[in-house]
Amino acid sequence: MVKINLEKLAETAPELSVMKVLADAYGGSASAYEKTLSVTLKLLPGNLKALNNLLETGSSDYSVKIHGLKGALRTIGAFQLGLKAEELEKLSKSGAEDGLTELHSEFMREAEGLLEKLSLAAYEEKSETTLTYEQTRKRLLEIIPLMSEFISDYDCGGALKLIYPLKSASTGAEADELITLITDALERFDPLKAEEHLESLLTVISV
Amino acid sequence: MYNIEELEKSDKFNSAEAVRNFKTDREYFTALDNFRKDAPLYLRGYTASVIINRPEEQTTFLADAEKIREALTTLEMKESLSYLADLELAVATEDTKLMSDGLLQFYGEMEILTKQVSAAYIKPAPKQEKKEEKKKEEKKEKSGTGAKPTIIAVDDSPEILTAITGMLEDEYRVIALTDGVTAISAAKKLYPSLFILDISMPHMNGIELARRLRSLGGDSPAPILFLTGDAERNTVVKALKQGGNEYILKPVEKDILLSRVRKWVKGAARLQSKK
Repeated sequence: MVKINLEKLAETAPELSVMKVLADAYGGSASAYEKTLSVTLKLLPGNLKALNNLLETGSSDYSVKIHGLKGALRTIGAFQLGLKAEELEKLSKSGAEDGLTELHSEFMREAEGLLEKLSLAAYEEKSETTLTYEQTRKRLLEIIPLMSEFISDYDCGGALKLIYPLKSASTGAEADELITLITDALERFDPLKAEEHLESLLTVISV
Repeated sequence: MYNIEELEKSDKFNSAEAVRNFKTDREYFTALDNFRKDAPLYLRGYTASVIINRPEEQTTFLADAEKIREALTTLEMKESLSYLADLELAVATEDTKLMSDGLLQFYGEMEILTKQVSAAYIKPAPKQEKKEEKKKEEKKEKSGTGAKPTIIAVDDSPEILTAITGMLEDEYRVIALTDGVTAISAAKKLYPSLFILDISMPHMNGIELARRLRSLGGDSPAPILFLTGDAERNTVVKALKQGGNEYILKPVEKDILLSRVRKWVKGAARLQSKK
């Protein structure tokens, strides 16, 4: 699992006021803040790419996308960038194209800069698993029905806790890819997609 | 069901007039049910100094007061409206003492009204009671109130859902979802203690989602807390009219979120145990 070194991030990204955000917004809960940063790191590249595409195609969904980004950025303490996103949202809704393009470029530059800083502060948590191929397969067969129960209750968090320890274990390329798809879907809180991939995983490892 | 004669004894509201504000007696009784459940919680959790000193709290408070005014007017409890007027005056003049006294008097007034309405309440017959008891137990099991209470949080941003989950998961089972349609399915299955809804979402916004959740019915629909970056008063009023109970502005802070969630979940559990 990708984690974020908050002390390093505080040094390299002073615009986030990491320690203040941790204390004020997250009530000192480092794990909650780290998880949010980790998910942001994972999703921001795709969101920025989508935002660019929406501007290029002149889509009215641009204002919807930037609104979502505004909220996500403010949630991690990127308030200045969040303000730019708010301005972009207003410009997009008012149809002011010229001002929009220029500010969009500025926003993208700064957002990509933030992304780089997040990446530098990220590290892969070492997994302690030393399971063999067969042990991993056996463990998956045990947890899949439990995961299905969590997912049927729409509880992505519960299902994620079961599969995370096995993320770095291996049981074949196809199964490994499905595990990645399942964890991605659960991290995006998409239980229906997660269930779909879970069924495929069961088929693959049951053979 | 309510004993109409008993209701008409009250000097604080005009039951005969109130029933004309509804299409049927049944609708009137449902409104009285909601009043009986909700009135003890009206404006609870607010403190005078916080309201006076924090503009965002004032917005939420005034929105709550507006909603309560509508309920009291519809139920012809007009005498009690003067207490709300006093509270609004306290906010306008930034008078902490006036606010503090006003809140106490308002709570007292709601207590009296609730007692009068409850005195007229007719309990269901024993056979019906057993069935309802069984339904309550099943609901309790499904919502996991034996363990952590369940909250359904809906926002189109996974980042924000991750933050909310992280802030609340020590005390609550948080079911986080990114779309309204799935949230409705989850609500039907899980009987949560609280909903936390973003307002601005694509496909189905939070206001529409709240309306649909309220239309699911059930004897104790869970409270709805709107969590949003939209600070416009019109949106606040619209959201609360569609069945929202409270409105918190983003970016949220853990202490504020947790205190509001605790207040509403506790209130919902208290009402559930009284039934």
